[in-house]
Amino acid sequence: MRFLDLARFSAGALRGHRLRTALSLTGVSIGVASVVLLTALGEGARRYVTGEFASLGSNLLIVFPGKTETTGLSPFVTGAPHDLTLDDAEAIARRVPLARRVAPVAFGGAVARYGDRSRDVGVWGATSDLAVVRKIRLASGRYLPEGEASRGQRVCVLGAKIRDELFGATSPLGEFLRLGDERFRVIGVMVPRGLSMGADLDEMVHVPVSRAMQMFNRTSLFRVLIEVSSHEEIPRAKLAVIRLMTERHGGEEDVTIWTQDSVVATFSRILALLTATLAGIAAVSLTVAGVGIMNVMLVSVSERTREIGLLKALGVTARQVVAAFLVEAAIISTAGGAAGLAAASAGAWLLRALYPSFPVRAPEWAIPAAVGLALGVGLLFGVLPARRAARLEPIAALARR
Amino acid sequence: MIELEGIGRDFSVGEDTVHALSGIDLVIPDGDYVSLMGPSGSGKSTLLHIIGCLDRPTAGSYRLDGREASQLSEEELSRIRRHQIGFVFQFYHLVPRLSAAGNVELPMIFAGVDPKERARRVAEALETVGLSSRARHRSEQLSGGERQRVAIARAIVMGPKILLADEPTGNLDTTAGAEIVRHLEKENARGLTLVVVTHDHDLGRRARHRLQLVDGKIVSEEGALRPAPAAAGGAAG
Repeated sequence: MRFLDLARFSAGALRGHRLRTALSLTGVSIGVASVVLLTALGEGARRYVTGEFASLGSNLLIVFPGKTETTGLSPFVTGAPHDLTLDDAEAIARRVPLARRVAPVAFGGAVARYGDRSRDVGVWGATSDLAVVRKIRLASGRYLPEGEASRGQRVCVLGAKIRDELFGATSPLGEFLRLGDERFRVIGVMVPRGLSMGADLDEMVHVPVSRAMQMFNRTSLFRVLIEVSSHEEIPRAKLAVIRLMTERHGGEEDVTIWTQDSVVATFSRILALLTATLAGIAAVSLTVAGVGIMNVMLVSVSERTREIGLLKALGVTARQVVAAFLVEAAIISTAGGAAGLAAASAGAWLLRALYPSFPVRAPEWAIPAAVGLALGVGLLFGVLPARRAARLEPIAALARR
Repeated sequence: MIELEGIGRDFSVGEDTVHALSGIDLVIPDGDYVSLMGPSGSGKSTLLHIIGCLDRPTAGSYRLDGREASQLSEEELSRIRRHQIGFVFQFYHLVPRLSAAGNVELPMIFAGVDPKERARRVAEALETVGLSSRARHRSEQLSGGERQRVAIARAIVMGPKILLADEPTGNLDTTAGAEIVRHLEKENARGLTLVVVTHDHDLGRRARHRLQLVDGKIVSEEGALRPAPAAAGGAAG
């Protein structure tokens, strides 16, 4: 028989029971919608988090003085046999070609004063490269001047919170900020960044690195940030830096290199797992919808016993009866799947409208997976009713009035 | 040609076995007009179902045009029902959601007949039973007699050789019943073998070849085994 005729016959049977058809269609569409929406949420979370990490610079290596024995991620390393010096940083910039930018950082705490206001601040000793490496953007003014590694002018760049708390409404540019015993001219203000790796970047003041080291009377850097041009170069760059540092520190490997790679990968894995979990939960709801289809089809079979008996008397084969019922199940799940996709994209659109920063988007695999699953579930759960229909004895079926 | 030899049909009901039919020997030549009569439970419907390949005998041999039915697969039996046999039931068994035309079209849809051809044959069959004007009506909009005429149209639309009717007038008043009998006999006159199950004596007497069943056995047979007259009038009275 022709497939189109079969489809028309099955569609006619479904139209004959509108309420029942509508209910099971709703079940399937809720299942499909939840698969797509929940994976979209999980995927959104993953994108959001990896996006946050990427904004820190994913081509970054961070060198700490001292060697940790564990592979832990803590940047606070104990026992540094050799200092990590500005010369070391310059050596890396000079001798490791993969290092596109090298930003040495010193760190200390100081009391900042302006007029009669004061507060504790974190002071970063930095160079102009740090702005590039950490993607620092300025609300006003400019960042530390180039070539300031060793000259150490008394200039500073303020975090957003410092600016607000010490300067209030007045423009800080060109004003002098007292840090400890020294006065620094304010040359720029950074845009708010919030917390990053446990430190509030908005509570920092950046000054030239050599100036900071003098201020705090330190010989060792806090860390050296190295940017490479691509992700893939990180392992090679890491080896080169370790080799160079070992050579400079008398054959002792006494630096620790941390990359964001591992963290991003871990988070990404966790969140992918989360997405899979959500998809699993959604698949359960789709299965429930499948049981709903089966229920509807079974009712349909027992209600249409006479019709099935008649079909058999008319010479319709058992196989054709199975096909007719499976096509009904397929129609329900396809239509339900389409409705579910429409509902899911409406829901995703709504979420995006409400929370623009949260990228709710179903992963590419979710949509075919949801539709395929709906169809599979529909057919799977359609088989039992269809076979029951096909096995009906025509005489018994016809005997009923 | 329908040939039954020693046909028996047992049903198990709980631990008991009911012999619905036993030792049925019957030959129905092509074009014959047979009535099966008998009280309720005499096995006449079971016999009709066996002839129509809807049921299988538990004993004996049934040959349809020389082919042993017990050796045919379900698939082949379906094909025989589709092409050789038309059924008419007491309760019409129309599909309620379909129109008269839709019901007549039904067997052709599953037989894979081309839509144009289907439309032509539906019109022709409805014309035959005088229901052309009712083609678009659904069964609830039709009278009992009209429904049964739709059922006849559906039974003949595939061009079968055998027409089997199970109490075709059982649910109809005398006038409508007579109309149905007229249509069935017209088909017999065209050369179809007609087998009617009934307990209406007036209807039963009209057949050339009359059988009485009691307790699953043939107790009387009249007018048997005459070669079918080519296309003579069926009303033997």
